[in-house]
Amino acid sequence: MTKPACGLCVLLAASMLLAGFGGMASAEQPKQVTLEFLAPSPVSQVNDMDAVLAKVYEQTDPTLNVRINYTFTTFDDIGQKASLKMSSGEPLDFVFVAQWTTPSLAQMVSKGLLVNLDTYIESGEYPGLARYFSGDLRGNNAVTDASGETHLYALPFTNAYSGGGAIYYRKDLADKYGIEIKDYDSLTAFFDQILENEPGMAPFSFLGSNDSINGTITDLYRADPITSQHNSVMVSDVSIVIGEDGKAYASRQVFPELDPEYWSRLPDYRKAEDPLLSYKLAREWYVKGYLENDLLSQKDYEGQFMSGRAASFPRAADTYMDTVSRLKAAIPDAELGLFMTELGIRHGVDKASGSDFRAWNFGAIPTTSKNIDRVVGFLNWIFEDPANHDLLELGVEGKHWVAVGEHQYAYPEGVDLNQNYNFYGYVLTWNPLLARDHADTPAFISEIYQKMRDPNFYYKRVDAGFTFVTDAIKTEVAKINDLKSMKRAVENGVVEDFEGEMSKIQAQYEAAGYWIVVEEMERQFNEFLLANPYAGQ
Amino acid sequence: MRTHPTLPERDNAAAALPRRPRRGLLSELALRPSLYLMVLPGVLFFLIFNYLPMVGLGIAFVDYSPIAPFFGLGSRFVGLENFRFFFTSNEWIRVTLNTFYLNALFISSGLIAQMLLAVGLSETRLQGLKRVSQTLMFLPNFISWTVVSVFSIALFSTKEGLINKLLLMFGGKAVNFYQTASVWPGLLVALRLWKGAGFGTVIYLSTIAGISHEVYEAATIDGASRMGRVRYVTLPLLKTTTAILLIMSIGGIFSGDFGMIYALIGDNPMLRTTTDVIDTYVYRALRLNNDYGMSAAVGLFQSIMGFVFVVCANAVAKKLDPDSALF
Repeated sequence: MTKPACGLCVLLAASMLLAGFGGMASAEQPKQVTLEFLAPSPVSQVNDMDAVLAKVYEQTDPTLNVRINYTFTTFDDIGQKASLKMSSGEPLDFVFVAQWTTPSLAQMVSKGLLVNLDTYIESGEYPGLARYFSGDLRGNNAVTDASGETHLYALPFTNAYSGGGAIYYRKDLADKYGIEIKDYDSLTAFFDQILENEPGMAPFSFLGSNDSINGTITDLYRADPITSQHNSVMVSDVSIVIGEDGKAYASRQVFPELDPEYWSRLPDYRKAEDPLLSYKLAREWYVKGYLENDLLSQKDYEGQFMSGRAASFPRAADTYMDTVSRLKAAIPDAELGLFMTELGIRHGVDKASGSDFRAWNFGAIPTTSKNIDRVVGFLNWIFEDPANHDLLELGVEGKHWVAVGEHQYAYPEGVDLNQNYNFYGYVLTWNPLLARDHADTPAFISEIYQKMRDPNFYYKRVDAGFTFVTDAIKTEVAKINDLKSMKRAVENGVVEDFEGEMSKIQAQYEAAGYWIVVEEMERQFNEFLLANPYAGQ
Repeated sequence: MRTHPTLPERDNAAAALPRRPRRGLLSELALRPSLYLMVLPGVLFFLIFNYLPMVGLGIAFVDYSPIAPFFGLGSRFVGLENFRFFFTSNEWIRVTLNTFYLNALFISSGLIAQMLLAVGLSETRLQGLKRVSQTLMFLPNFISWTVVSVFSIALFSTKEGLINKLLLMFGGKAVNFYQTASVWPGLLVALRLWKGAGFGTVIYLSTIAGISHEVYEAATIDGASRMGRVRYVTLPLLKTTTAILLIMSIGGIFSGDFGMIYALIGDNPMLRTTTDVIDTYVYRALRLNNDYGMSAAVGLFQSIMGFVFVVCANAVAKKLDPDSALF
């Protein structure tokens, strides 16, 4: 072979080799696509997100080759924006959804708007998702679709199995009056001191037109944690109790304590009580002045507390660090105290606190997405390795945060927190097994959080995994939704003749078609119990 | 040179004007292109933002799904099913009457207050006082109802409210405003006047500015006092403006001011009997369901009722004084 011919052969061989490698590379690395993510956020732009995503792409480019385009909107708008994007055919690949968004998760599933994730998780191709979305978290966050099948349609993002019901109070004032709040009596003694010595300050403030306080007061009053026979629950304003025959009975009374059929199915310790106990206690708190006179018009109870016009307010324990910093910023001399209203957590007793293991935040893939496999692949990558999860949730390690042990983090020295990475994990990354707390979290709060993240700590509520499908009775449900706040005047002790008011409200509910809803609820719940029988929890 | 014909008496005007020859649309456009070009942005604006969205009324008759064709309008047709929720409820008559009653109060008190304030301002001779008053009257308009609701709590709170503190100071008895439904129509009217009446004087002030000085001079020569000029010149000449504003307001008489009522009252069940309007009822009933079809059905009902009332009000105005009618 002549020299030029030999050179040509070498060149050809080299070109074929290169072409071969190129071909191999293009076979492994898919064509780049941009995934459109939509989520609510308190900030319109996440600080330094490009730096974090650059790190993400370094790792994902060889296999996934995606670019993430996050659009953030407000909490009020998220549902409508998602609906509009889907109806107008705009690309949307991953959307935040929840039971409280409008439309809700259940409504989106019943309309066939979300992709069934069970098929992906069960395929075995996505071990990250299968590992972190399994057991109670997966089963109880499944939703029943229009065909009556129940599947996981959205990934549940939560750091715990309950928010941890608590009352935040002014510890500096409790110390001033020598009171350590540890039970019902010490709490009311604190309220008495506030009424007597702190003019212009309400002992307890809450959103009276929206929330009921009688149940919380009664739980506090009962004092002893109960670890079995939790056979009743309220779902969509209907009270359900499971009888000894294992069947559900839905109370025909809006205030279920007035229904003898319901009352007879309750456990003995409940039947020993006065049926109207909770309403009487609420009335007592109102009359004594523990509750605000105008509680039905209260709009900013947290603002009341932060401005020194209330001595306590109810809020979940998982917001402790945020509440401390806000109180310190508002009233520098104030100290925050936390009193758990969840008896199981307060006493550290297993199976005394209930959970439906249902998250408060979810992420789902719309059926209109053209990149479903890529999105599932990206979600799997996040949960494939805790380091991937931490990168997206907390930022670049060493730059945005530093690890403190296995379950905590801190900010590096000199970091400007106003400019630091501030992604909100509840839209993509929260998971009880991967949660990290700030290193400054007090030990007693960390202990509470550990319980809240332990699925074995809770008893399983009888409605865990149940979805009430309302499509057939949506007219009646809408009319009853209108009446919900009517109950608040009774449940929060505002009305003196609460028994008379209960009868009037019952009549209004019945006129709105309450019994149609009750019967449908009972039917659906009994069907649910066939596959999920009550086990005496 | 073209001259204008002498205008005949009003009653014979139509008969006396020469009949124009009929022209086609295209020749009319060709004759005055610049005038029609100037009108074009306005026409497009109303077409895009007022007429085109009317297609969305179809949502009231379907079981809306966002991924159905034609922006969801291709969802399953359900006829009048979406109207059942509102018209079979026990509340619909009460909330409809409340909406009408409160809006009638707002419109009537608003127009009277705006007219009186405008006359008062125009009669003020001290320019400094006039400007300061105008600014103070305009300012509340720019405060949101959410902020007003915070003020209102400071005013009406049972224990800490300013009004109750004053009542107690003068030996009176505290009023539990947030549990007394009967006082709220009056309070809502007062707050609405405080917030909006000043700004609403703009149209009246411009109308008064347009009244010829010669008319006032003639009245003065005829011996009219200052009050006489207001009574016999200014107020009668504000009649047409008032009628037009009234007819325009009536169009929305079945649409409750959700922003105001929800900010001030919220979900307080004890104030519902007098303050619950269609919009607050629909919000409470549907905020959990988020049923677009049901919401659209109630919106359609409000629009149809508003339309009927506008047509009726215009007909009445036309009968009383043809110059006051809108169309």
